[in-house]
Amino acid sequence: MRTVSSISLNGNAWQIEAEGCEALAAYLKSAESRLTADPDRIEILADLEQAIADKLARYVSAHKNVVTAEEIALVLKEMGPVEIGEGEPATHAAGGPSTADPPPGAQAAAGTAAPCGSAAGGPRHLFRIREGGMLGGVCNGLAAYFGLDVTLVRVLFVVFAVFTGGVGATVYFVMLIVVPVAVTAEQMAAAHGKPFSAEELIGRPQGPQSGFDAGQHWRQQWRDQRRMWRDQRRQWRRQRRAWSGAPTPPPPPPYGWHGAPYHYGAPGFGPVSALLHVALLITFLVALVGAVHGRPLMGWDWTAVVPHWVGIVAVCVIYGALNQQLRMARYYGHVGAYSPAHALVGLIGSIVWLSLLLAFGWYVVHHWPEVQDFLQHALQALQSAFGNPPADSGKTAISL
Amino acid sequence: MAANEKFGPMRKGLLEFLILKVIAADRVYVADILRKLADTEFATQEGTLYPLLSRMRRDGLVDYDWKESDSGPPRKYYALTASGQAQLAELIAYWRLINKTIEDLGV
Repeated sequence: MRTVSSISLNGNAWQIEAEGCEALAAYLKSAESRLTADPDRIEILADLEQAIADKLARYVSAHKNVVTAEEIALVLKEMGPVEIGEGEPATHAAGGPSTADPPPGAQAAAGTAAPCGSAAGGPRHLFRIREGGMLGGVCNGLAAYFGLDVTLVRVLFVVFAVFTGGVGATVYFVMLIVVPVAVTAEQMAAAHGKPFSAEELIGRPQGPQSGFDAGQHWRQQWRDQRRMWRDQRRQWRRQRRAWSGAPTPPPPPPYGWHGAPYHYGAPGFGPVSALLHVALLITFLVALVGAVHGRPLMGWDWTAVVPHWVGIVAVCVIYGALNQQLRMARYYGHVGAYSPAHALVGLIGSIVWLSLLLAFGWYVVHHWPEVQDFLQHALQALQSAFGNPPADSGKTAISL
Repeated sequence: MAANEKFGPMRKGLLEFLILKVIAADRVYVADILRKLADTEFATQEGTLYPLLSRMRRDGLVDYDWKESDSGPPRKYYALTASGQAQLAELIAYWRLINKTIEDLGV
């Protein structure tokens, strides 16, 4: 049993389920508030009421004289949000005070009554978007999620990958595995944070309005997020400073003590790590020169498969990753001489890093067909983008 | 900005033009206009159309008169005014000009 309320539409009474009645009243109220500046407000409202009544007439018959909440939701969806006909889209984009306001009543009306109300709000989800993506669509998906230009995201990702010493590349691969591909139109809409409903798909004349609102809402969230990240970074920096301050030089040795004066780490670690560093650097330089000249690597002519810059970036990333590990090891070995707790933290960090790497390797081995499929897709994309037209090679964009 | 995000504002700007064209072709009431536009890229809803028609009437482009209908209450049938017809002719000419420019420029 459901309670029924009466509502008057343009002079005729209608019996509607209480829930639907509230939704309808909210819709009309929001229409009224949006039309306050319109001199023909009363006439338009009467027209709207009449249009709703005409639609409601479809749902009543001699044997059914109550309109259900679901039917109201359908009718309101069909009506669409009331917009003042500015005509000029520019005024909408500029966001005058009246147009920038979301139609709260209309949204609420559809939201409370419709079972699909959650979709109407346009929740944003992170998906990979293969269409227009270079490799796995990760950057494309991120760009859609954050509302940024995809090229910018790609460049940032490459810079991130190079400067964090491979962490960025690892992040990319992890996302490739974890983030699902947007397949259906609904997922695609969610990837862009756009509301997905028939009304939105066909009624694009009203589209920019809601898109604009979503964008604004998102900007607020992004600002909050950034503030959080900044605080986090500050905290990390403070922590790091505290840590690097921790291994203060040991108290001056008692007079006559014979020990290595600059021996801060485990015995013999300093020279070994220095040697490793130099060896790594030399290897890196040799590999880099080889990559720049496109020399085959261990008998494999990689230039036939990937373009030059990929090889160069790959060498840089690998060097960065190894160097980072070495530096971490040295740092914690150094700290460990004074504070075992810090060395333990460092050890745990390294173990986590290595286990992530191992997990990734395990995934690659056990899901080989999927990885292979991805690699093939990637190579095709790279070849079609950079391979054939040599005339264009001067203006190739860096992309993932 | 992807191309399809640019379609929205373009459609929005052209909606009034298309409504003028629909009304010019025939004496119509709102449901007719919606039906004619429904299968096109310019599908519109009452929530948008009523305020827009009201403004176009204020601008003196269209006018309506009441007509009895076989089913239900009387309906507003819209027709173009003289200035509405003039504006439509202007818009069509300008649209052709734009089309020609687009065709002529580039490849």
